[in-house]
Amino acid sequence: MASYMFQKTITSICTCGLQKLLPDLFFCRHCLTLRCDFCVSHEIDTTYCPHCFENLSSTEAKHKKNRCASCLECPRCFNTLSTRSYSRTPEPKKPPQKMYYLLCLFCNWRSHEPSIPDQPTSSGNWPVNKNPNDGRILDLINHYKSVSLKEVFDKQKRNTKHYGRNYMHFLEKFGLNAMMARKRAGLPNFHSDGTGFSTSEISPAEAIENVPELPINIFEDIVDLKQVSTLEQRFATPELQAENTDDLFPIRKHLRVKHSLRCRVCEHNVVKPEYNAVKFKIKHLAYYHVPEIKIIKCEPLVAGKWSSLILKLCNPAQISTAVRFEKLDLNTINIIREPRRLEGEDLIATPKQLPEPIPIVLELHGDIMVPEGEIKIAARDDTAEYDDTNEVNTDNDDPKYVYWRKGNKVALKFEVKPSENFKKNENLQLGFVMHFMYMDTMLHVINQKQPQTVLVPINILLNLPNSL
Amino acid sequence: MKIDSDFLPEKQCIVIDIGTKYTKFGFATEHSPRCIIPTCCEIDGTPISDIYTCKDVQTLTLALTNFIHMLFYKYALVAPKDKKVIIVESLLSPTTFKEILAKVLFITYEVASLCFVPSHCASLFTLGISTGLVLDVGYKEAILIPVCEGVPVLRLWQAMALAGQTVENQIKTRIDIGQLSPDESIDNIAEDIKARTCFVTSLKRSKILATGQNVEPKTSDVEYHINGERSITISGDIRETVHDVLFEENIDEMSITTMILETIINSNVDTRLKLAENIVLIGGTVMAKGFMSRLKEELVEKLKSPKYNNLKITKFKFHIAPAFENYIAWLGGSIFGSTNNLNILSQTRENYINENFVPDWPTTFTRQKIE
Repeated sequence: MASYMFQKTITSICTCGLQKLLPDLFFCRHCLTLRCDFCVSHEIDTTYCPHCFENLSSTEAKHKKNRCASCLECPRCFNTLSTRSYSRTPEPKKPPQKMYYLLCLFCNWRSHEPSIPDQPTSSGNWPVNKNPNDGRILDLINHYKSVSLKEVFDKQKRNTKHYGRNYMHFLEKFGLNAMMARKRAGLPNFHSDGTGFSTSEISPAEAIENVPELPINIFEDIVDLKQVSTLEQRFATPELQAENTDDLFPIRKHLRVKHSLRCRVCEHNVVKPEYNAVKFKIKHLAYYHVPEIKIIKCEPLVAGKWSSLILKLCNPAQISTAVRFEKLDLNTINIIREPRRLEGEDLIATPKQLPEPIPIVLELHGDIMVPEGEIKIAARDDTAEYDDTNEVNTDNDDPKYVYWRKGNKVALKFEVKPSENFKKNENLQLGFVMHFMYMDTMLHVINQKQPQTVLVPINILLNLPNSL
Repeated sequence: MKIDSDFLPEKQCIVIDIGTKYTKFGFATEHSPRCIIPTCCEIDGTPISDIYTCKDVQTLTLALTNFIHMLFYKYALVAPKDKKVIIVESLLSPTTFKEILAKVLFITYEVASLCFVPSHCASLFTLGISTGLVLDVGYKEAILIPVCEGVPVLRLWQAMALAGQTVENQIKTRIDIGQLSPDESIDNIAEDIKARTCFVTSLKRSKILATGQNVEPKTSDVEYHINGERSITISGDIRETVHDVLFEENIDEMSITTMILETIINSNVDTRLKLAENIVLIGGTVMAKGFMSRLKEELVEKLKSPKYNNLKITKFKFHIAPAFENYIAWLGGSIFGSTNNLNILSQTRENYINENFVPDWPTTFTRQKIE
């Protein structure tokens, strides 16, 4: 079932120019056009742990370096570790004490391997590995901070010479406000005259002549590859990069984020997740608005000959819609992109520079004949399947184009003709434009106008396999 | 919850070092990168293994957009909007790459400011020195640029395609890996063999092995398992000699050794001694065991040849940074990001939108300070 979702037989061209499957697309209800995850701006809604599903605020996540405080990962196979316990009687007279250790249920790694002592509590204050060079790097950072501050100070000192007898500028620089600001930023106070400003001295690194040699036993030692960590294992903790698997320490689980998506053009939300639930407050997926197209039947494709192709359209919306088809014009495909000018209250932010649209480069391998006129599709009705009568009005349908009709689905006849030089075993790429009727309710909300129906054009690409 | 001085209302600054093989990523003022991940991404389901090889502007834009998206939303977990970004990059990285990266960050991701820091200069921040001969041996190429008093001497740059990839190609040709199933990649296996079993042997042993004789003690063979199904034997000779290709001279008599010596011989007489005594090795390939001692042996040996005889240098000294070699340049960027100079030298988004170009050097010209 999942593979049918990923088959790239029928793709839609997003407003930005990328070819996407319908389930991957969003529908902006203000711009009335398709958007994909490439052309919306992503925002971070909530941070959560993928294992214990605890939600963390952004400051909390930042403080914990985007790692979960309670969940640990196996350093060898990156699966989640579980905590195991056993009882121990330290002295014969005392009650037994429960001790905890970590175990990977997948690869059987246990926390005894890097000799982490067992903990008396289940949450366990598992030791956090420290970068052995922390002190030196901190010295370097402080040194360069003070050097750069001194530069700024020297520059200011040069400028103050020309102030003359007006001392007001000193108030700005050395006054209470400035002092507080500096204190808040954790910077040292300026000395009153500035001359005493000193940079913290560090000893520059000494180069060595006696570089570390190869260990003598490296040649003869038998290498047990199970004991040598892989690059992936080393890079999981960049500050340690242990080469021996016995020195690998458990890793805290990396957090993940829920995205909320915003249309870049009109700055309205397209998708917004709900806090603390696997639900959405807003989800304008194209799947809920745009009629879905599926291939039902296709006659064998022969170069230069018309063969019929039957497509099924399914209206996912609660209101009935109508579709109209048009041939895809390759010359104008790159000219009109944004179908709607935003104005008035629709525009909530000042327009800004947007990423350039991606030029659509297409090659069509044949001709397509699309149904003429408007074809109505009924609204989706969840109770329809319990209805035995199931009568659909097919009086107005042209049997030349409408194959059958059932509920909110309609099957349409298309004719395709591969071009003369069409080769076998090559996919036949064809395209058409589908205009579908969309009920624009947003105008009603904002401007108190009646909901209007709008025809929304969508470029559809067919990529018909021809392997037979 | 504990609140400490880390919680400044200041904008967070993100440091990215996009290497040809691995990307180092983290926040400024931190002491190690948050993650080291392979530089690869997907465009519409097709994986792009090397972003630097994308020549087409369109593909490169898409690849970089996807890659930056992954960095921010999977690893940094911050929205890039209004953040400061430092890119640590090699001075020799292509201009189009830099321009497209700036465009993606400024326009698509709306970062507040962007600063390109040359990796060779940034590496010296981790040592607290201002003059040094910085040799970056990464995946694709070895790049040498000496830095004098904080200024890279571009006239003396040297670059050769001698790096991790060359070593991996040696492994691929010298070891018969056999038929692989479609989900295994020969590159990954070669890299794994290189990182886990190989080392750089000493000059003496390498010379004997080159003549085809046996050396004592003999290096042990390694059984390497592929996908847990079949195993291949990696002979001891191969384990110790695959890195030798880095030190072999090509028809122009150039190798990593002569790159260093050529730079020293072409440099100003007064700086020669200082450069020879301040060699800084960065990049992942120099982490191979024994690389530094072999390079020293090679340098001393080469010094005896008539070409470099009159150099008046007797010894070479190497620096050891307080970090692993593969993220030294990143750490330099992180230290740079903690200083006030970041605000002075970065290009702001307003400036980029007005001027519509990225300056070659981080300078204070044409831009106002950001607060």
